[in-house]
Amino acid sequence: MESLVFLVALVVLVLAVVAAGVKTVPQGFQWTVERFGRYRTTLMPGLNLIVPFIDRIGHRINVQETVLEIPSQSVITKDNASVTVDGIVFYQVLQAARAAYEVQNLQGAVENMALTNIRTAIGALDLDETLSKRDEINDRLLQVLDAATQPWGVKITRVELKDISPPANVVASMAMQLTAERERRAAILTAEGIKQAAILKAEGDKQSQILAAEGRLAAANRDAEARERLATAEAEATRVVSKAVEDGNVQALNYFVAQKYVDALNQIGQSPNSKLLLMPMEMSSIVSAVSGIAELTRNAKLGETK
Amino acid sequence: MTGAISPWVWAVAAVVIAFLELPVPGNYLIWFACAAALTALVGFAIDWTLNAQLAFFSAACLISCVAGYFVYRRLALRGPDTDVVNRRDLELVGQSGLASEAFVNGHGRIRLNDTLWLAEGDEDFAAGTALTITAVHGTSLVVRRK
Repeated sequence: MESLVFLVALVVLVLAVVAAGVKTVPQGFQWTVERFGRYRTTLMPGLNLIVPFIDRIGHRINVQETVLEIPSQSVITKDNASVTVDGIVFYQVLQAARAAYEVQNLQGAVENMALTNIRTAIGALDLDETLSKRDEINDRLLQVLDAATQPWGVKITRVELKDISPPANVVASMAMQLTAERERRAAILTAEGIKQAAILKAEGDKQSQILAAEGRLAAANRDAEARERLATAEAEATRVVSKAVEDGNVQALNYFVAQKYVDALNQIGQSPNSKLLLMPMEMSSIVSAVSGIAELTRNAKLGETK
Repeated sequence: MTGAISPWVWAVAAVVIAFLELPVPGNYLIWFACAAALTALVGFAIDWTLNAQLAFFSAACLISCVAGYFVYRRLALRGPDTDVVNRRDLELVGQSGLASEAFVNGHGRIRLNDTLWLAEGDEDFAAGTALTITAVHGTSLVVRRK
């Protein structure tokens, strides 16, 4: 009977020993092993054996990247504006043993460190900078938190400020400022449009006047050239006539003059509205012209006779 | 044999324990089931006492669990690409990045995958130098010029 009790106890002991010695660590976790209360090793994911009665599991550390919400808090900026800020921190345990034994309540420690550093970072900036330089704040927080958590075997992979909310009156003022700024830009754009239009119109007028003046200049030049050509032609004609007179008879001139007189009288006489007939003042000139013509005729006959 | 457990009881126990392995994560109940099954087989073959059965079962439990450990170990070592999961230190070795700031006394920061890592090198690098990661010391990367 005693032997039976012993064997039953042995079976139970074997079961307990195996259960205590075989440890299956799930993926994403690392377990620390303590031997007589002192850290000995870290169990990796998978099947592991530890020495029953001597070793025991210390901490079950999650080594997956963890998202930690930083609760909303009120922060005073450098220019004394009170803003409400919350954020988010991504971290991952790289050294399970350090995370287990170097810090108590790792998550709480990271959260509090993030809270205080957010205060520090935003307290050094004006409200406008706080709202516009979020990337720089995130970067600075990342560097500070990463360096601070290094002894804990923790890598801070990302820090993001989720929301930065100024007080309602500041938001209203910012909206008014935005509206005023937009209106200012609209007014400036309108004025610039008008200015550009006036300049373009003036330039158009200027171009038009310049072109007109150039046209007049070209026309005057052509007129002058025409007059020069005409004068030259008349001079040439006069020279030719003078030559002809010099070579011939001076009475030829009288022929031309008389012909002009007669043509002029003819034109005056044909005008339907003319009630007045102008005659040369010296009628004797016409007579002399006619006598000149007679002289010409006579000379011509003499020439034929010769 | 008076007092001895029927081999069928051992067989049923083996099946029940094997079923328990499914919902209970532990990877060792199945070896208890193997021990019970082995005890049942031996019970069918020979006529033995209860004490002998219990002693045999205890020994079989220990032996099968140790054997199981080695089987699991071999399977785990053969598993592909399982080593780098959740192991950034292994994953980062061999990757390259740029020094985000000038290194002073061999210490500085390197930008990798949209985050910054503390890094140490055997010389001072100027900001923007291309660096290769050769090892990981805790949360700090060991780098050299690429």
